Amino acid sequence: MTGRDGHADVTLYTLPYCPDCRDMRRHLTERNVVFQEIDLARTPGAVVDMLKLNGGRRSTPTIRIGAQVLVDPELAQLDAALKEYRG
Amino acid sequence: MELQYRLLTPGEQWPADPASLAAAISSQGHFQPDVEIAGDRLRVRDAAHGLTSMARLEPYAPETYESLLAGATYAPRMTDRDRETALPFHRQVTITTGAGPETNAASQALFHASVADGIWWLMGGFLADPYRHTLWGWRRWRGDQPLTDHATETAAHLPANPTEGGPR
Repeated sequence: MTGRDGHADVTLYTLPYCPDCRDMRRHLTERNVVFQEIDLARTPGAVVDMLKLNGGRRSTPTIRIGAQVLVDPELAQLDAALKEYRG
Repeated sequence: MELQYRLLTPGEQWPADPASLAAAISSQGHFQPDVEIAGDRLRVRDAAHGLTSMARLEPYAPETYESLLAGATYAPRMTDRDRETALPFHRQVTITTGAGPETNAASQALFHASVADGIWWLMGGFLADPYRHTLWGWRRWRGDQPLTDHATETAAHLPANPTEGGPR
């Protein structure tokens, strides 16, 4: 799943010690979704970017799928968003 | 009187940049701090409230976790998910928030809790709270009560006269 410019159009914001982030990463990988993962602890500016994106919710995992932003979603919610995005 | 928490963390270094930690703290809605990082020291300051916290990144001394829990000095308050991701520890972060003569105890305690909360969110681990004799896991810390309640309970342990007493 890539945008028109060829880059991954799914971005996953994670923290290294977040079990839900690990679950989300595994879930996306199992579904062959190409995604960019951003480690909030190690990426300068990433926390500010994520807070702008998700309405100021300091919560992980936050995932952007095209124009949709999901904050700590259930896996079923994530699948529905992926399905909608794929059309 | 200074307030102090100790974070036992699997993280090995400070967050990537001061702005990330400042944003992590300010997102909770109580303070707008400035953060400076210099080597193993970190300073968080809120000029508007006249509050400053210092944090120090140190090696993790083996057996610290076990020794805190031995003899029921600290009660564990954590979920299985917390344990799953917090261990093993690689560093210890000591977080200290001072108080000037004009400092309001409630503000001091809320700032202390907010700074610890922001560092902890980015670095993971368990928080040793000497005021409530509790070793907190993240999910219980965030899920059981809001930051303001943590601060209120911590402030309740501050002596009426700041020159007396300290963590039991």
